Amino acid sequence: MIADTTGSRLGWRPWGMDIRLAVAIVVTFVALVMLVSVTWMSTTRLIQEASWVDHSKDVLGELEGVQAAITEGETGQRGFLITGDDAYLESYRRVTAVLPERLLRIGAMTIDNPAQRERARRLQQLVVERLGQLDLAVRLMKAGREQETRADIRAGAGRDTMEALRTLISRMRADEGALLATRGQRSGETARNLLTTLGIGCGLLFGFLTLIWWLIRSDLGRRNRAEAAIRDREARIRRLIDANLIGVLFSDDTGVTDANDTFLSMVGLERKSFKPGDHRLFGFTAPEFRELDETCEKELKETGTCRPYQKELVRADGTRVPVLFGAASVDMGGASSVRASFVVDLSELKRVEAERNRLYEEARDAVKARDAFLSVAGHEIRTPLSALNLIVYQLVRQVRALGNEKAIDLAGRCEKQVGRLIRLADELLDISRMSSGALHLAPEETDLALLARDVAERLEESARRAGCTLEVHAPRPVVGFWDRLRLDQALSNLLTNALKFGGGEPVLVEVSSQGDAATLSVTDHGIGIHDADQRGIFERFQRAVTAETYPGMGLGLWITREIVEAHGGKISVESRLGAGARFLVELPRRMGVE
Amino acid sequence: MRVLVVEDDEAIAEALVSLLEDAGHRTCHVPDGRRALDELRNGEETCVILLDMTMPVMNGWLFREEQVKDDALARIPVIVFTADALAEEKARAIGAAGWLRKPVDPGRLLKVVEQHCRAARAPS
Repeated sequence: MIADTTGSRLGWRPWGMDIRLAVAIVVTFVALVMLVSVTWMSTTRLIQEASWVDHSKDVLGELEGVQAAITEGETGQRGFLITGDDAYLESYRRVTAVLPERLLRIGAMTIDNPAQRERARRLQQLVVERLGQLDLAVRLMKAGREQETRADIRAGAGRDTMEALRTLISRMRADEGALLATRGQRSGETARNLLTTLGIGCGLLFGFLTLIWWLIRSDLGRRNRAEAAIRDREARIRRLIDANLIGVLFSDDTGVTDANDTFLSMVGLERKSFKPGDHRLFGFTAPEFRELDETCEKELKETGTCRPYQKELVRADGTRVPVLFGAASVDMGGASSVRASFVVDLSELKRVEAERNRLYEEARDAVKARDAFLSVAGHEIRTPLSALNLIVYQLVRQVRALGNEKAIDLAGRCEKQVGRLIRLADELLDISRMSSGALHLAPEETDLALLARDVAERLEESARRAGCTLEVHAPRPVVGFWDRLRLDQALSNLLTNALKFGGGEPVLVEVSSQGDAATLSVTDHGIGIHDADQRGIFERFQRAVTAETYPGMGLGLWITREIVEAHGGKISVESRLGAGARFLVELPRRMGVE
Repeated sequence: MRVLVVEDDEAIAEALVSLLEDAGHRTCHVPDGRRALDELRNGEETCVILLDMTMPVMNGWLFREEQVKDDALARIPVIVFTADALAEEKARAIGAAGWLRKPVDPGRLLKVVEQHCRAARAPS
């Protein structure tokens, strides 16, 4: 198990938020400030206007109060004058006592309105005048001058003053009433504007807040998805590391900080004895591989990765282990160079490779030995054969001169068998030459039609013995640049086979040409070749029949194929079991030209 | 004029000599190149040399080198007579007049020898 050295690098990043979210927050904040400012100003204005409305109402109230007080005072005075009862004077005195105070308040309240202020001053004069008139009548009454007093009342004394008072108050009230209406209307408009502003502002704020909520939600969703993807990737990496399929180690400037069990086991270390920083990343490498490590270190610094390479590590017990090593820088811009490295144990691979190489060497040596044997055998057989051939040649002629028929027959058979031995030795020599790629052709201008007729003529006696008729169909010369002797050998092999397996049926040789290609075919009507055997018959020592029924080494068709392919041509067979076979050779007229 | 057979294999040499003599040629057999040079320098005039390549004491290559160095011998035609599959290449390499591969077709052998001996006997 390896410690988590990577960790999640995704925390809350306040300045890393979505730019749209940042803009929405700023706009919302500005809108909120504007809304508060407008609301504050509108409210202040509304309060001011409301106070003016109250002011007008107060003025109206005071005017009503003045009028009511004079009327009440006048009523009390009349009661006293009529009844002479002092009780009526109580309300008269109470009312007249408050009037000066009211008049002062009216004067103060109309200080901002010059017209009303002037009227207030006039009002004060009229009130003083009227109160003087009432007070005079009371004093006359108390002095016992009742008749005089009543005569004055009947004469309408003070009526004009009172009328002037009523008219003046009525005008002041009318003016103040008009002011009240104006101020009330203005105050109402201000209140409506305030409400409209608040409504729109709150709506906008709600909209912005909804937008912010949506952006935060989508930003969080994106972050959550990204974090989930990273967690998933980390989990996969962790599973890979913990699966211990390959050695994994982490390192920084202090050395190897952590490694999985596979790596520790690879270098022969125990988990409990491993301490971070005890080992250098390249500290396990065998000395002769240090140069590769230096190249890796250079690549890591330049490109951040080091291409995998093979080297050997020295285990704690001094033994070595062949590995594939690769590394990559994984630090995220920090000062320390954090690296992740993987190590694959190649011991088994190397063992298998060594075994394979050994087997390959053995096989190659065996093939070499076989070819060398064939070469030597071919050569060594040819030497006594050479002498035998010369001797038999002379023997045949000597025997013929003696005229003994039996001896002539035996000597002839002997000569024929020597010929077979020579062909066999030739084939063995050909195998070694062709196997080693030493088949050298000597191309010359050759007429394939003529060559076919020559070979057929030479094999006429063999055909007769096999009970076959041999027909050559080569109506026109087919001239090309070929090794005549080798093509003779190839056609001889094909014809010999056709006679051997032809079952006494006619054998046909056809030669034709088309453009730069020449075609030679040999057709028999003998035993044929099974489908499964058709591919193998062109290989060395491969035969489609058993040696018990048809003796031979299985070299003829292989040699034929080698000769044809050395000329740049190809050979194929069409056959059915029991229905004969047709061997088709296609040759370019000039070697190297298809 | 005679035919010089340079051949280390006794059986082949005897059969060759017998064949050539039956055909009317005078022959001389030596088993190696050194003896062949001695015979050429001290013996009768030779019309053609049948030369085996692989021999003890002095092989065919060394013999040919010595032969071409000696002006008196250099003109005598050499027929390479070997069991090697590369007979033609070897003959070309040493500048021989022809080549015959063992086992040789006796008819062809007699034809080649006759051709060279007739040419040698012809007045120059």
